[in-house]
Amino acid sequence: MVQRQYSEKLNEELFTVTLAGGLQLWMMPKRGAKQTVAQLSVASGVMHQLGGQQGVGVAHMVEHLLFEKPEGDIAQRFAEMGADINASTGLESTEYVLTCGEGVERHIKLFFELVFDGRWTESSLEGERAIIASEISLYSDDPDWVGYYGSLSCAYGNHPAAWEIAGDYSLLETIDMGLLKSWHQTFYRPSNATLFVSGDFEVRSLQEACETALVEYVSSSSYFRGIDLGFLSEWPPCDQTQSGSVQFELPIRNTKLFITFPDFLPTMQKRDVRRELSFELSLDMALGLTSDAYVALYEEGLVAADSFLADVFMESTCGFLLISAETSDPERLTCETIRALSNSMDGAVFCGDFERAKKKMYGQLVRSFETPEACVNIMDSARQLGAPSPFDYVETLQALTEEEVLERWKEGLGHLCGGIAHVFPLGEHNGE
Amino acid sequence: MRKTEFHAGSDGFHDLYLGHGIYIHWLRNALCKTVRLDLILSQPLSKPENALGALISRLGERGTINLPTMQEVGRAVDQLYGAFLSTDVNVLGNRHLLNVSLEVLSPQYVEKSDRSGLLLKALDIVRQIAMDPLRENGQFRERYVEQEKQSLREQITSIYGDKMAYALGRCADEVNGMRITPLGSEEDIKKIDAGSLPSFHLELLQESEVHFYFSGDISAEDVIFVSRRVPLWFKAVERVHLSGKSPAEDSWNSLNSGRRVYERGQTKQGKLVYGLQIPAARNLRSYVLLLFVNALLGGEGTSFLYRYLREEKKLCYFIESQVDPLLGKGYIQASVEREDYQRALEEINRGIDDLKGGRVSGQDWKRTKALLGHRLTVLREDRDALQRLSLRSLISGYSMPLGEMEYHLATIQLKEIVDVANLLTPSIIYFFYGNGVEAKES
Repeated sequence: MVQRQYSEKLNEELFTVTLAGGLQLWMMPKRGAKQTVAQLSVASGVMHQLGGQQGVGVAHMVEHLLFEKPEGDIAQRFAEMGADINASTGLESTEYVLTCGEGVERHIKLFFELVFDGRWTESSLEGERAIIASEISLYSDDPDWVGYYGSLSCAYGNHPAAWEIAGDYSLLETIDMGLLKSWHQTFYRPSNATLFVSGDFEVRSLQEACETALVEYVSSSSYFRGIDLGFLSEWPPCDQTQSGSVQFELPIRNTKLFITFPDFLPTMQKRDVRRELSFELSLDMALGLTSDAYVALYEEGLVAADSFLADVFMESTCGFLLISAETSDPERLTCETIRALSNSMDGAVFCGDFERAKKKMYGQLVRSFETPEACVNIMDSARQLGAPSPFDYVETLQALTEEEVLERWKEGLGHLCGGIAHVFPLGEHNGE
Repeated sequence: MRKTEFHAGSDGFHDLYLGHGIYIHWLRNALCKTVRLDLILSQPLSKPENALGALISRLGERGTINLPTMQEVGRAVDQLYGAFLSTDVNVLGNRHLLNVSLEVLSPQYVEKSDRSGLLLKALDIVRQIAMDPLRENGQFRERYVEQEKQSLREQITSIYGDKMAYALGRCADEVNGMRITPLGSEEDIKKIDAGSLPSFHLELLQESEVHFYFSGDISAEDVIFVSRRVPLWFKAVERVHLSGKSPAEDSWNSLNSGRRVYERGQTKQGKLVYGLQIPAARNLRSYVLLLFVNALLGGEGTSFLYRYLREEKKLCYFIESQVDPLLGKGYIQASVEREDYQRALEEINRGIDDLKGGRVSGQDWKRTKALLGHRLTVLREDRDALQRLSLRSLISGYSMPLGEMEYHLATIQLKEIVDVANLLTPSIIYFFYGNGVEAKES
């Protein structure tokens, strides 16, 4: 039964339905849109495990291999129909994204074939190993990549949240056909996936196309056997959160700083939209581009213009703040950043600024519904955090109080334990 | 009173010329939840002046006469429901563009009490940043100038962290002598004297071609109402704009045919940039032809190079080509291991030769055409892309209606592609390679 939700504030509709096999379908029609975006999110990521084997490297390899059908690269068949296809692997899921013009229904059969049909061969496995090795090598030159994972490692230790999604060269060699096939059979099931679609289409017609394609590609296979999924338990408990730092040297000209502050989640609580918005608002007031603290850092020349980023990352199993910047004095910028966050915990920076931050956040949320691509992203974020609809973001924001936001901010980030990575130009770090 | 009307330009923006080198462009997209205002000051490319323009764009965000600190500017923007402000500089064809952009919620999504003045407030912030950056006794604040000069220098040097972008820039330098970049060079920035900025800023306002783009959920009436103010802004600066289109630059006379440049540096994976030259597009059909040639060669996942280097030979993860039809320049970029350089080069040459020889299969033809058709379709609601197309149209001197581009795409013949491909000439083949240095924990 299709459920309809309507947001008067946003003038948007959401339709949700559970299809055969448990596939969740979320639809936000946009009449007149020239582009339609469909994203199939499969709960297969670095945070998953199967028989003691972690998802690192494996989930990403499966993503690559699914494009390699015995008939050739399936992306070419999408191209023939004027559609683009792409994919990426993350901590909790792998996303397959289709973009096309009108008539998204005619791509659904091929879309499900891409994801649910795991007919890759031994030779395609060898080929993808080489391509992924090149991908790993490509990113190892990237100072942002190195610094980001360096700070995550310091914050999370040897936990999948800090592992590079593609794995490393030695791990690539150990991933065999048997593991990959089992992984695909276990995680790539309709009940473990959600399809988000936004653009110009008829709800009924899209639903029918999905139902037809599901029958053809899934029902006759082994996907309904109900194998238990091997999720990792939620992480990090507070006693595993750690502080640490690491320094790298790379061939760059400007020093870069990365700090990760993990969110401490008290027992019996969960990461949800309310928590994410509370962190976003607090971070904006504490270290946003119009905060006293940021302005002081800028005026003192401690951060290079346009290089400063302060972001909240939140999925159900993992949440953290990430601060990064180019700076001439990473030690001092680290101290000042921690001082600014620490000072914010007494709530003084909230006084008189809370309404501005809310107003700003409201504008950002409305913009998240502007294009089909943005709608798909916010639907996915809402689902990740257990919200019944993306409209929850706007409703929740309006209900948030200053006291509640401060309380969550203190409980989640008050410890200020974090992982710090400095990336120096070669030869410029004195090792102290 | 004279009736003000927009003239249909490309299928996207509608254009209105206000005289004195001031243009208004309007694009309505009711699906948008925002309205975007883009003020663009367009000047001919000139190396030292690019740096001055880049600095001016930063100083506007730093503070204005009425909002003298960056915090006040930022908070004024936040009060417009988290509007999004950006200033930047770009090179397009042979023009240098200074852009002040503000994206604000469409009035229907804000509180009733804030609706009426929202667009005018947004417009005024754009005006202040472009026209009224903070000056004291006629001079820019020395401390701001020095800080922003430093920021610009850091922005230029930070490109070295992105090895592919660095290699692309180095290859372009080898092709053109020294490239003219949007930010200018470190040397240009160093030489800027704060005292010279007020007169430069005045000249910028007097002599630039002015383009004001309004896009999103905004009616023609609203655009006409708010844009009546624009000529008044410029009245005080006594415009001396020199009209005249700037033809696309023809880079066909380069002497660098196929020269190879190897640079040893600090990178783990080698960066190969293969420069190409081709006569610049003189009309819309040749423009579309160049887009097609690029898509077949390396611009799409269906391309020869993607298939040969990545899918068949497994030489790399990243490979792509790009062609600028207005400049007649193209670059093929690949990130390959040092030992694979020669093989990668052979595969790139194979792709170019196949294109020149017309060895394009029916499937390749169909897929590439379908993908490009899809790109043109979605372009109709991509205001960034439509704005770039509108500017390209003004620079090239020929209009670029999407419908006509679709017509050319549908009717292009293989023979035309082969003819164009045979004009492709390698300029510089540049390879940046290292010792396989990995990030070292210190």
